[in-house]
Amino acid sequence: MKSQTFPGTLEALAPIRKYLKLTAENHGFGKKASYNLQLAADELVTNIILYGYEEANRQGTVQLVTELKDKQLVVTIRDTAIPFDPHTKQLPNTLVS
Amino acid sequence: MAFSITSEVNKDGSIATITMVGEVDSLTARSFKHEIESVFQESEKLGDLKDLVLELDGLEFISSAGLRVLIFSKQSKPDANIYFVKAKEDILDSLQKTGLMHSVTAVDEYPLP
Repeated sequence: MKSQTFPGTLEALAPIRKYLKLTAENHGFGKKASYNLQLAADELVTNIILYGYEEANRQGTVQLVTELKDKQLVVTIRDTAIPFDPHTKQLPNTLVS
Repeated sequence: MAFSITSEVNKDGSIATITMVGEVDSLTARSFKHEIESVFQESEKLGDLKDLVLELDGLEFISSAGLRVLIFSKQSKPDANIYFVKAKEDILDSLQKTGLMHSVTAVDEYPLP
């Protein structure tokens, strides 16, 4: 298990993708799997930074924990923002034009 | 990878070309949007924009923030064609999965042969 902590700013997105790309390559994953991992992590971390930190006027970090389990690379993303549980929120009305 | 973006508009404002190298995420998408707004303004001074040409040979990554700029472009200039020149498979894959592929034309070269 490896862990790396990054600042919770948009400037950290590129280093985070690079870190995950190298981690995926080191574990023998192909280009497509590596790209998809970077894309998924980028979207998640972007939401943490924009809504967990910037919009909430908070500062914090993003910690990536990576672990190889049964040939799968498991990435855990930890932040220090206010907890957000989508199940407690009302669903958006997508029928309004 | 460092992000760079350059653009030019032809003499009659009908063709705007934007070349991007590197990765478009929520940070660099701001430069992308700024460049799009800038070429749209320049084109409007000269005439009507017909083709928005994105030279993407050097583009390695695009997140949903970059795709939002594309949607903004299409909404701003619904009659203009958007060409993706030499976009990599991963980039086109994101367009396919998000249903944006019908809004752009992927080509190997521009002007079209």
